Amino acid sequence: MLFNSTNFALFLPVVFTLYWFVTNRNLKYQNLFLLVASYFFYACWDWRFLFLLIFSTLLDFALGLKIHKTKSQRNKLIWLWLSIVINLGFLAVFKYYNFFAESFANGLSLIGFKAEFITLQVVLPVGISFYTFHGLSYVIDLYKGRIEPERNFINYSVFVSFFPLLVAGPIERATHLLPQILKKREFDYAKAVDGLKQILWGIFKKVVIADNCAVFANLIFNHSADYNGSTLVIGALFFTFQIYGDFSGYSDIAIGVAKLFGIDLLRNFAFPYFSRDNAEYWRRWHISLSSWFRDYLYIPLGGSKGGTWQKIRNVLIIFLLSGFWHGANWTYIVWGLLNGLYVLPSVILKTNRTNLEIVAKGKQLPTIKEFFHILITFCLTVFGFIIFRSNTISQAFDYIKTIFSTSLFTAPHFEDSGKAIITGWLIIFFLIVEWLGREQQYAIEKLGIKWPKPIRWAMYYTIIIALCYFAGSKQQFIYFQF
Amino acid sequence: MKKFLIQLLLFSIPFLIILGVPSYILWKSKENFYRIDSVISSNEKYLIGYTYNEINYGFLKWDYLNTHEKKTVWALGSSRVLQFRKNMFDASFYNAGYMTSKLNEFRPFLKNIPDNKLPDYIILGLDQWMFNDNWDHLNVIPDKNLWRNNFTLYPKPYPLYRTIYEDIFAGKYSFASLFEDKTSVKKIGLNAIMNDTGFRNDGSFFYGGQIDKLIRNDSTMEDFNYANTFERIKKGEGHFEYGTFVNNKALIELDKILAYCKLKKIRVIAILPPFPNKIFIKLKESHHYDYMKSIYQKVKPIIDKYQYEIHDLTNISSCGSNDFETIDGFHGGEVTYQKCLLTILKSGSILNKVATIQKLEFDLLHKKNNYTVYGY
Repeated sequence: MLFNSTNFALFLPVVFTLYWFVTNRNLKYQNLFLLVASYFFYACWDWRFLFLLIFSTLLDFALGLKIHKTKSQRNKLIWLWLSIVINLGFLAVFKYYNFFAESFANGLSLIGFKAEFITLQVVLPVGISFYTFHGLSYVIDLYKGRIEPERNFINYSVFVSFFPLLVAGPIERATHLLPQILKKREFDYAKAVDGLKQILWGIFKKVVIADNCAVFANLIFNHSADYNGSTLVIGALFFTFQIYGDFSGYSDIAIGVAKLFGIDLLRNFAFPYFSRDNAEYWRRWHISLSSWFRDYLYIPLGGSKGGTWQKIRNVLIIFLLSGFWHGANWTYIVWGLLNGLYVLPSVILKTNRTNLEIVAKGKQLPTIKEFFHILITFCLTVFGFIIFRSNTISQAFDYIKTIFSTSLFTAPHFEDSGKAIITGWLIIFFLIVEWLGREQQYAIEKLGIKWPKPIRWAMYYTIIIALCYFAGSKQQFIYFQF
Repeated sequence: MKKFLIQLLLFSIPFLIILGVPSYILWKSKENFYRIDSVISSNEKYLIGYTYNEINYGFLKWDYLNTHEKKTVWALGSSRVLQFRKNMFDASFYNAGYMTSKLNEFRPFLKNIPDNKLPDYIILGLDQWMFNDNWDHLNVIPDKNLWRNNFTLYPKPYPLYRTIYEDIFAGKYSFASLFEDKTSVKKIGLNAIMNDTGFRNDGSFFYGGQIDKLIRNDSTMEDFNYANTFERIKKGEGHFEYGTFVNNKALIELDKILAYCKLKKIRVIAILPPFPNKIFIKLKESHHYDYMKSIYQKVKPIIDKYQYEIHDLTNISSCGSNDFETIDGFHGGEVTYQKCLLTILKSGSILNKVATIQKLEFDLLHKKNNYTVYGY
């Protein structure tokens, strides 16, 4: 069930109504109902994988209790590692087995051995990378003593399976979400309205920006050998806005939907394309994943403390794993490492925390210096996304080689370029709105808040009409495949 | 909560109206929210013409052939056999045209019909582009349940409703015509209601609105003066992809189709359907369509192997028809196809067992206009 589907448009009002009216604001019933709704939502994708989700939930729930109950630190550690190994084992089997088997076979063939491994013909269970990380955050936080164990399986299951975040995040923390699940929720008018606005903006990003960009990004990347350098640059730019519109749009919808149920989810995007350096970019892009790796891996490894080599090692490990998390393909690994290299100088020089606030805070425009910093960071991001989007490393290499050829200075040419110009104007409009709202949680949070209601509503109507008029052809959310 | 719901309702009113208009059009026209099973199984005269749900035609024909008694003669192929009509034959007839636009769809379609409902004769429309070596359409194997399961009852508002509004603003609809039905024919679907166009009970296609425009020489009609077809030829697209050689894989597939028909004791009368003279000359003079010149020579031996017939009607003049009897750049009208059938019969075809030359000639003399012999 896609967020931008008719099914979800029917599902959401029904669940919302039953949640607030039928459960009679009773926490126990609210949570039970949320769990049923979430499992139904998940089963709409593929009911067979529902058992995997339930098993994974049961496992972490039981091991969490074990970790808490066990007195011996050594035994706690054993239970923790058991959870980590089983959780990551699922990921390894479903997501990475074929990649490892094929890569190993290829590696052996390079040194003259011929090996054939059985590859698995299994579909990647949707959301596995996300709910596995939810579960891991719970057991690690328990082990670290940051939270108390949850003894009610239903409450814990809601934490893992809450439908807005189940398939593509944000990756929640037990310390943040679980207390909200345990607290009685009253309907909050302001929060619900805020949620609807965020859903609206999220759908706009997805349907108008991402889906329109996808048409050209797919066309150019799928036939990259046929195009000149300038067209390939346009393809990379389209993909850069596609992935942002797609994933941040999804996150906005998820966060907005959660607000309708009285729950706040973690912020996932904070206007990353306005970042002045790559360290800032990674504090603003897929925040819930970056901070997960920071808290559960980077800091335990020593973080930015220690010697230079240790810093380099830690940064590269984090970015390598972050890339690998996205999928079993060398392109993601290289993309991750490349971003590690982008960030490395600022970590070594200790300038990685220079730009903590949003750019030009309280001002209308950035300084010329800030503007150029934003531009350089953006160009590096676009460059990285060429590797991310390519099917293979060699395609990425050819793509980049063509960009840096003389054909870069020839006119771009691709099918339906007229529509691409309209999409370009939509992106400019989108960037202006994002810039104006960059100090908020999402771009239109406070936009028009002081305007008279008819004008404010007219603005929302305009966005909805734009949604209908400029909607691109329906595309799957990119991050569902991760 | 009460305040929230009231505000939400007030805010939604314009959208309920916006969604309501297309929903009403779709419901009123029976384009959606209407199952056609009972209509198909009844003997009521109907015209089924969808605008947004052409996919339903697969179900229409599959269901008809499965629920009605066996028909002696079928026309099978793409839209280029749809002008063959029940009135042209002395035996029972059904036009299963529009079901198979690719060669590899013929066998799955036939296999979807029980043996006891298969015909004795099939007029097999072999579109020339099915043999284009440069139009590789044979790689995708069609879903064996393609025709059975394809029925859209409920619309998907996005992006359909946007298209509906675009069509409304483009003046394609007249709301009044939704309520005007002067005929005794049951009309299902927007195309049937707005343009008097769609499938009749015998599976043939009625080009009502298009014929009216042709008679009026209305320049707003589709493919006026074949402009659209000439554009396709110029660009080498939309079935007019350039090609030099006949596709061997297509010949192999044709062989399999004929073998299957032989197995089921069906007699096949293959035709290469007609193009208007202007298009035929354009294709002939172009160096981009060399494959068309050798289709007959390559196909004939395969047809002969099974002792079937093939009639090359590519040039519309070969059956005594002309451009003034065509619907568009690659569809002849009913008069054209009646003349084609006469040509086939006069060549000594086995179809003489199920059609009569004298009757067809008599009917032609009393044709309704240049495009239709029998009217609806």
